[in-house]
Amino acid sequence: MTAAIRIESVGKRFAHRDVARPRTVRQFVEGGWRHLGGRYTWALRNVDFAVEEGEVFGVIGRNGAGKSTLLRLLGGVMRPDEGRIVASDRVSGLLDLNAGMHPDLTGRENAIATGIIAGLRKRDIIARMDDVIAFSELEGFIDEPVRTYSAGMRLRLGFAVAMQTKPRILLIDEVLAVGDIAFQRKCLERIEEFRVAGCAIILISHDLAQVEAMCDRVLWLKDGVSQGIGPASDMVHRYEAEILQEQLALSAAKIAPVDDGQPHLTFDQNRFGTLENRITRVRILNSRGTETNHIKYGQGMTLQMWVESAVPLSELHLSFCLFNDKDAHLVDFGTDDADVVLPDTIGTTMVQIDIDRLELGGGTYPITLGVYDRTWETVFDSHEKAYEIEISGEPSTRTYSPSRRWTIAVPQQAGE
Amino acid sequence: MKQHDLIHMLEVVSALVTRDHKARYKSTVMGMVWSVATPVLFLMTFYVLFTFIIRMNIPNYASFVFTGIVAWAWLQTSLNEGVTSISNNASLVGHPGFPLPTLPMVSVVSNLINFLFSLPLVLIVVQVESGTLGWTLIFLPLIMIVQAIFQLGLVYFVSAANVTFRDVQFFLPSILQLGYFTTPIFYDLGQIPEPFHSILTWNPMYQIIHAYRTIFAGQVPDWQGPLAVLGVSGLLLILGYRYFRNAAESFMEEI
Repeated sequence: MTAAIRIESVGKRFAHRDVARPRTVRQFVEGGWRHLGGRYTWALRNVDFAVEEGEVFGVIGRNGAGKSTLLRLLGGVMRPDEGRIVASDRVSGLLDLNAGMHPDLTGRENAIATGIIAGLRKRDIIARMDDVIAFSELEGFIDEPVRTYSAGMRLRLGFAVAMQTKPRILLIDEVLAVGDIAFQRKCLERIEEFRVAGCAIILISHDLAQVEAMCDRVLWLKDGVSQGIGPASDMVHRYEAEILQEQLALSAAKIAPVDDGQPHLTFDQNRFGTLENRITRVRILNSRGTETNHIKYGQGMTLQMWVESAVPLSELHLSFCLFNDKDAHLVDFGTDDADVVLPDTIGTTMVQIDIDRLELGGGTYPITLGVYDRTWETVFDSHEKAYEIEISGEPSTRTYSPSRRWTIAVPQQAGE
Repeated sequence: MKQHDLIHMLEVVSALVTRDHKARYKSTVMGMVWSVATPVLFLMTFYVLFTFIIRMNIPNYASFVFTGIVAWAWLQTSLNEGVTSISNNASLVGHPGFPLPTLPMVSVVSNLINFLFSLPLVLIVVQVESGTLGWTLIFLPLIMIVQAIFQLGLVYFVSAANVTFRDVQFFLPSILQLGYFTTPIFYDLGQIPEPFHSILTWNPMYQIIHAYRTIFAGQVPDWQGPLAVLGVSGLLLILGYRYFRNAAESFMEEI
């Protein structure tokens, strides 16, 4: 195995955008020479790694951790201030797939232009136009102006063109999150073909599951500094653990415990979050409307929660999870269900969930209720297994136990 | 590898120029007409103004002024479009492997095509007015190459400068406007006092326009002027390109 691209103690710094640098000739003239010498921040420092041919290398980290800077340095569109980057071949990118497209030109014309920009010869892209059209699934639209395309269609076209190149070193930034599942799978297959052919792939993504599934090794960046390089699953788990730690530390530091009349909740034990928006009261009712947590098998239940929000309720996510005794989620849904529309109310709102039939085996099931922001990044109030229901009237399997009907057909005895 | 890079660059220039022209002619039905309409309107204005209202007494005034207008229009549009060719194209600048030096070229070549669209009209005006067109037209491409080199050097310079100093694109049109009036386009050297002649002849655009006029008049240009401009332009191109390459290192940080 040989390294396709090697990064040696690379650092990149940016000047602060205050008075340090004049942005116009006017400021330059007005400022005289006093603007020389500014303050800098290192966006990336002491990063070392090498990606082998045929390897998929992932980079994870929060926004602002230096991932994009690294990508630009690797792509050669920025120069490092320290260290060096040695690439054995031309670096290609699946970055901005619509770079160079013009809305008034047809899909075919744009495919030719973007193909040439991506490094293909004009005659090659013309020769492969059939594959571009087939891959992008734009058969009926290829001679329509791109302006009439949906965003997904444009990305499919961009992808189809980029897939015609034979990259040796490929940078991928998030773009795999586009399109429908079938199209994504097709792209992943094509990328896998590149890898098998010896292409070194560097993937930058927020989708940790995808990073874990695709990458051989992963670099975790934090504030521009490497937190380690290792097997994908190790690094992803370490990263996730730290994110969780940070979340908890944040909520513990920020929030003085509140007593809002819910004695079953103890902060940091079964209640987590910033409590900026919170659940103040919860009722569980059986199908006759009686407040109880004993539910008979096959009957319905209603859960009511009162949510006190400091922001419009529509900016929040409410979630409901039900666990079995092995800690597995049996039920996990929330207000991102397609047909739930939260109002813009601020203050206390009662939210009710009606479940028509609970078809669970007998036993007790803990329930977690949570309030998050819409990106799931901030936990406002999570009541972890703070509630439970008890199902009776069915053997105690603590699993999903659908109502069922058995039919046993006895073979007809001949001559009877 | 080197040869492949060069071919790639030329194909990129051609793809982007084709794209711009197709887009222009698709978005306005009159696209091609518009690119010729502006110089024609200027021609008519100057012709009426300086033939009937303020008498210039320049022989074959329509040919004279039209040549200047069309040649200057190439410079002006190349520079005005070229100045933002980097700052308005962040997605291409951020594209790994994209040959940046093609972007300023595109504005010069793209407007060369507009120049070529106007050229037949200029030739018709000259032929109708004076009937002097002749074999000297074979020199026309030479002068156009000199003008292209001159403009390319300038465009490399202003496009890179506009990334560092964002107001270049705002005062460049004013400078070009000033150039329009200080270059003998609608007047002749004869109209201004003798002491200023030598200053005006230092203007590369004057030399270029003068050479075009000489060629259209059926004469062989005096090569001294164009050769001097070629030397200066070549130097300008080398310096402009170097400045561009140096500035290119930090384009992505600034746009």
